[in-house]
This record gives sequence, C-alpha cells and structure tokens, in this order.
Amino acid sequence: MTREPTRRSSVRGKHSRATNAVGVFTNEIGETGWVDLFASRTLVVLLTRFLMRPDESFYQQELAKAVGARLYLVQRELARLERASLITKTPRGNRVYYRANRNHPAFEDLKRAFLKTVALGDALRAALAPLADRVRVAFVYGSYAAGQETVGSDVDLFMVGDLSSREAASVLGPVGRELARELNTAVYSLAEFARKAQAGHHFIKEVLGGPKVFVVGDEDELGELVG
Amino acid sequence: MSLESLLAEGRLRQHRTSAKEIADLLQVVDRDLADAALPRLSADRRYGTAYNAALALASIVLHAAGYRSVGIGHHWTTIQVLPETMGPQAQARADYLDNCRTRRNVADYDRAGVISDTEAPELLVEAKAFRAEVLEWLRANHPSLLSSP
Repeated sequence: MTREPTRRSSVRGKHSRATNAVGVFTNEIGETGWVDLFASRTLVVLLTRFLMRPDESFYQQELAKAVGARLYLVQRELARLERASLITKTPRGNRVYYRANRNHPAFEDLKRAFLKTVALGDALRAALAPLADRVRVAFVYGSYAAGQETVGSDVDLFMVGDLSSREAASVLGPVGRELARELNTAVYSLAEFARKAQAGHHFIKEVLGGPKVFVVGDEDELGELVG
Repeated sequence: MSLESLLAEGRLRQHRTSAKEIADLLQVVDRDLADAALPRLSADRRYGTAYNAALALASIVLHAAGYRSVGIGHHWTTIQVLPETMGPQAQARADYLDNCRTRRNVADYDRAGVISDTEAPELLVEAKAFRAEVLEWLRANHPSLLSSP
C-alpha cells in the first residue's frame, strides 16, 4: 500500500526517538513543539504527570526520581506550579505530598490540551512511528477523548490500517506500561472499516460520532476512509 | 513487575502444580481453541474463547513456575509475569495478550460488536502459536509436568 507522503506527516521522521524513562516524551518527539512553550522540560514532565494522574499524590524525592531531574529543579518547578494553583501540597508525616488541583478552573482544559499534544498523543505517535506507512488513521475515543475518564479508565485507541493487533500491541505495550494506563486498541482493516461505517454498524457509528483525539491522520482523512 | 513484588502484594501465591493439573488445563486450551474456530459464532465470542485458551496457557506457565494468581486482576497478573517466567522475549506476547484482555473485557461485559473480523482469527492463530511455545517451554524446563500420570 502506498500513500501520499504528506498524509503521514504526523508520525514520520522526527518521531523516531523513543519515549523517555517516564514515558512522556522527549524534546525531539513531539512535532507540536509544546515543550518549548514552557519554562523547562522538567516543568512539562511534572505537569504532565499531575494532569494525567490527578488522583495521586507524590513527594519530592519520588518525583525527582520518576522524572529523572535533580531535586532542586523539581522543587523550583513545583513552586511554580503551586503559585499557578495547578497543584496543592499537603504535609503528611515528615513528607510533603503534591497533587493536581482539580478545582482549578482550567484543569480539565489544560489536561485536554496536554493529552492532545505532549502527553498521550506524543507517546502514542512516537510508538506508532515504526508502523507509519501502514496506519491510515489512529485516534483516541471513549472516556479519555471525552475528558470523562476516571483513574481506572482504559485508553481506547481506534486504528485503521494494514496491520495486525499483535504488531500494534508490541509497539504500544510500552506506552501503556509507562503511562500506567490500560490500552484498549481496536484494529480495523480499511475494507472492514469502510464496510461497517457504511452499514451503520452500531459500534463504528458510536465511535465515529463521539469525541476523538487524533494521533495519526485527521477527521478529513477519516471521512475519506468511510467513503 | 517482578514475581517477588507481586508475591509481596498478595497478587501471587506459591503453588505446587502437578502433571494432572497441567493436563487438565491443556484440555481447557484445546477445547477453547476448537470452539474459537467455529465460524457461526460472533467475532466477539470467538475472540473471548481464544482469549480463554491463551489465558489457560499463561496459567500453565505460571503454575509450572510455582505460582498462582489470586484476587482482583488475576488475569492481568498471569499475563504480566510471562516475560519473567518464560524470558524477556515473551514481552511482546504479554503486551499483545494484555491488550486482548482489555478488549475481551469490553466485548464480554460492556458492549457487543467491538471485535473486528481480523482480530478474532488473529487471536486464534496467536493462541495456537502460544500453545506450541508453552509446550516447548515445558519440555525444556519442566518435563516431569508433561509425563502421563
């Protein structure tokens, strides 16, 4: 199968670097350039962690270890996030625990923005890079895409292309482990997808009509596949 | 996640298996591999059945290694430990089966029609390949468990 090169722009070339130790991304991966918008990479990694795991609390040493940054850098960025009211701190025993401030009016918006850019999307995009020429469209649907996920929600990923579930799982497995999220990856061939979409198959219809966060391709490309 | 940490968390317990238990589980595997090939069943059901065969195979490995999984998430545990019990090359198999576990949960409990026409036969092929691998692994590592009682 050949495709017009521009169609693959979202997964090729510079996504060849793997996700880093905390499974977020590296500077080189995202083509969104979002990392450069923030004061430091550590800030982005920390913020990503708080946004993606909003029901968990972390202490300083734990965060420094997890994000692979020096403690003083972590402390500096934690102070910044606290000033912005994006996180709260609670002393417990001889430790201070930090967690996301879900009450911040922009919390959900920020999380959605991160999901669409530096966090999940980049991690998935980077992971799918080796399959770039065979994935026509990939998007997150379900509770994650709707911003209604809970701590135990799966990340529902829908893929259309010329690949097996086994191939998808072997590149996506590390992302799920690193983000501590279960991936529910559906893989459809172009033919089956078009057939079921045209026939109004209930699951496909629901997916097509629901919110999506595109990882590969976009709504237009998806429309073309429906035919 | 290591066997030690799963033991410490209470997700695994020590277990002494027998040739009889392994033979019984292999019968579950063979029944489900046969049923998963029935073309009149829905893709969801064939998928769930092939998944069950794969899970029984993973249980055989876990039992032979001296453990059993307990409590909530025992499917997850049984699949997670494959790279440790069978070796790091089993990671891709574990990643695949773990996604199958999630998909099967959705198909069995949440909504019908989510399994694609390619996913069900693929899992059947994978489960058959896994069966061959597990038998080979047993022959190499626990031959006494394959002997007739």
